Amino acid sequence: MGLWPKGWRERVKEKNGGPKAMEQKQKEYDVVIIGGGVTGAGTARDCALRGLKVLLVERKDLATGASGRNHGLLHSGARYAVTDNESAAECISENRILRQIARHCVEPTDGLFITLPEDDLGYQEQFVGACRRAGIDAEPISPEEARRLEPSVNPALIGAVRVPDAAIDPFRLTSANVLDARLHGAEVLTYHSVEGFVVEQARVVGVVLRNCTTGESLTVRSRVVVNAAGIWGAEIALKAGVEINMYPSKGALLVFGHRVNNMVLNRCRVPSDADILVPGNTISLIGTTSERIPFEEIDKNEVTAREVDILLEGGAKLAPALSSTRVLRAYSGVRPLVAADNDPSCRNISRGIVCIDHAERDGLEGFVTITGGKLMTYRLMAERVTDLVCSKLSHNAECSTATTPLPGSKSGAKAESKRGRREFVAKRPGERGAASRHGDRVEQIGFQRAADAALVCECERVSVAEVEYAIRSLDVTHLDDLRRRTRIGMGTCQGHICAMRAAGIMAKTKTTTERATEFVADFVEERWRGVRPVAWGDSLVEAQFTQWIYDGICGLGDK
Amino acid sequence: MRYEAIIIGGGLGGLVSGIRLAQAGRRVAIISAGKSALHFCSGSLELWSKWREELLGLSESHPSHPYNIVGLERLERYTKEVKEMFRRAGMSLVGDFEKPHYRLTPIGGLKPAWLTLEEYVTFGAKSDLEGRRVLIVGLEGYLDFYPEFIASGLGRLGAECRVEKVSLPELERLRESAAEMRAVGIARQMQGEALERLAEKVSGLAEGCDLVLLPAVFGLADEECFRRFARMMKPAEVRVAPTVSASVPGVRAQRLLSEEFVRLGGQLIQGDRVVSYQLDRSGRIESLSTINHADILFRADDFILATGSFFGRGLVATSENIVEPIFGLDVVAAEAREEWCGEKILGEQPFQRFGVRVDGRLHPLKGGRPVENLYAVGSVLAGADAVKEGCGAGVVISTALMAADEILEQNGKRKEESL
Repeated sequence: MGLWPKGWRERVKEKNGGPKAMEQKQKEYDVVIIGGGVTGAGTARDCALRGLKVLLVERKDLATGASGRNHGLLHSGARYAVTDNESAAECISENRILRQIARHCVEPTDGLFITLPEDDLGYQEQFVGACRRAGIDAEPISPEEARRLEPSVNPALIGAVRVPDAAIDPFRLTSANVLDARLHGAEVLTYHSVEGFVVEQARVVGVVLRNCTTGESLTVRSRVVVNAAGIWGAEIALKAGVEINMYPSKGALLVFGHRVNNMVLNRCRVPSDADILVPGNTISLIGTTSERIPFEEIDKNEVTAREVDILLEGGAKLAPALSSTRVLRAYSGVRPLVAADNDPSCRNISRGIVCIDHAERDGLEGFVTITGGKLMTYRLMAERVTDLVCSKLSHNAECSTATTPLPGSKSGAKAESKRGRREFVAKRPGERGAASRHGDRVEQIGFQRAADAALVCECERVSVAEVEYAIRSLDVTHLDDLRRRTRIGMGTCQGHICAMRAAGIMAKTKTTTERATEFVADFVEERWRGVRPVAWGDSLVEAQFTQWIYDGICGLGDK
Repeated sequence: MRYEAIIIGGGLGGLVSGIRLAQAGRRVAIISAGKSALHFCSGSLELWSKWREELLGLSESHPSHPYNIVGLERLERYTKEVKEMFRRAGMSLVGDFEKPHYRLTPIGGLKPAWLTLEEYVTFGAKSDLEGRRVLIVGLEGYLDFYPEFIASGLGRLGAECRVEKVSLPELERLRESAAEMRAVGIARQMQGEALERLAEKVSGLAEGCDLVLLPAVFGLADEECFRRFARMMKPAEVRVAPTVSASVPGVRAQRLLSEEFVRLGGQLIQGDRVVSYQLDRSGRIESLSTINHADILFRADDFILATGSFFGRGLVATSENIVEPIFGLDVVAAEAREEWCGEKILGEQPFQRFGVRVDGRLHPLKGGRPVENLYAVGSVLAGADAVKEGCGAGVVISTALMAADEILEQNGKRKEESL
């Protein structure tokens, strides 16, 4: 339990705002969901689809925690087949669902589990058997066939198994869930942090929020509150006066400057560091490391030179071309792992879903926590917690999220095949880019004027119209939020061309030029945090150019 | 092929050295890979981000700065000479070493500058803005110019600003391709009737204004394009303000300086890259080999390394170290990768000061010993932070001219000796 700094728990409890004098009429909801990650977003959607009055609150932007700091891998479940067959079965079932309901977020790439000469080929047989038990199509193929399917694969491989892995865009997935929640009446407050809870007679009846932009405080009333704050959920729970035994597990990843592989590449061995290479959009990602960190560091997200070296070495084992490919940036996320209540040493850690009714566990009514799990199972987590919320509210409504497509994935089978995708898109690059990101919602973007198709971000083909649509409809407050909605600044230039252009558009519709100027400075600094651990080669060239443009020419670094 | 001097790098430094040597009648070649920081020029040649007084104490405050090798006296003389060099190449620079002025940034801030291309707006003092009525004209759909930001920046200094957007049929055509609405693409359209139409539109909007600002998108080939526009706009004073990213006046400067170099008899070998070198028995550099001319040796008496910093590939960072890739010269740089970069990209960045080590006559060191017939100039040199000190152009120009002078002087001596 040494992970909790001394006195930290007490300080958090003290800071709990508690019941404050509320002059103005407080808004009332059936359910307030804390956390704008994919789990919170999915829960908000499920609750809204079932007819509840919903508020989703997030202290920063959507998908700023672990939801936006992972591999973007639509697991087949094969990775867990040997070690945790139940998780593997959950994964493959959700994998099939997400391919249908979140079609515009998924790239059906398939994956390979490769055995290298230094690995035990005997493991492969055990692996294939476990996959089949979990219901995963695992097809052993010859090394020649693997090299043919995925030319970037390490040619020294001695075995390969093909599985239905895929790539999924977690930003897009989170945003589509929030959008659908909104379309079904949910309200969303980003940049609002939870200061404390209103507790009356051992029942949570409201949440005290702070508007992080203005500093104003605001209290809302709710019949149930869902804690879906990932690793930050431990602190949220303490504010409500209950404890969850969480274990922050840091995972670091590297982004490569172009798409090296087209299939997900995994090592066929007991899960370890740096053994998954995922293609996504224009890039490839290698990850992860796994390291227990103290709670004070959960917001740091710094990647060390050692982690970079581990990832580079592991990556080159999967695809040797990585050793000569530009590393674009490094980032890390924190998994919200939960230890069993009777295991204060955190030895017995599960990566499974944890849904806690604090009335049952702690005698605190109106408060539930959904945590553990993974990106893959966010929908199932949302379903379980929404079932619990509905039973608490005696609200009779079936879950429909397994069959109702998300906004963007609604247009029938059109986007299913590659050919379908082509029908659905238009001629200009900005329109093609928008269609690939927003699916059928591209119709809402509207490329009426010629100037709408002008590119803001050239690396990722993001147009003026798409930027304006995101500002209008996708809860964008800061420039950095715009990146998570559209991918501006995520390509090879890492924002040095597009940051100012996007800020120019924001200044016209959303904010003042002074604020927009601050946004640009924040944006280039945010990009730099990821580039700095890998700043050599072309990444250092770009960094020098970025400083020249934004500090030298524009003067953003002047005091 | 045999020359008296060969310059590696065709950016500002290479061209300034080359023009100086060609003017003195030397047979000189520039081998250029094609990437030049001039293409992203702010419109000003910067010598020092703050005021002149600070330069006087430089040997104390920044002992390893390249300006200490040049010396203030020469820096002042070279500033005058480069102004004259630009004039002969067809460009007018305003300002001088004695009295800095302010340039406008693309987002409406002011920065001290010493020499600025005439078409750009400059201010003698911040108080000059008080009460001025400024019209800022943007082009519909052009994303790299920020009239609203400039308006609020100048507004904070007391100017009364108005923003207008105009469009031209000639620019509409650029939209066919989404990436064409850029400074260089627009500049290609700014001639003939389009220029007249723009002047007419802007004149109609300029009533009651005493200063009109437009994006710097006039004239890839010469300054006459903007002059013509300004004449049509009379009586209001018209100036350009900088755009972000590619700079039309920068592209023009690159072009005019290249033309001047060729006009003076220099040979410009473009799109080629030096890959190796050969030494003679005494350890002097004898010749260079390039990618495109693998079978030809480029021989010369003297060589100038004007390859720039990381951006120009004069320095290359691998995950392990930082090297000067052509000659493997001694480099001043932090050893550990973690120490190359600062925490904030807009803050101090140690890598900006990395570069090759030189002696008092700009001979770079290799294995601790100066390479006698090689000179290093510009951003490849260690010791300067072009961004934080605002000395990028100043270091380039002064070291480039100094290296050329050293070569001329040494050649003179050699000739005297041989007589």
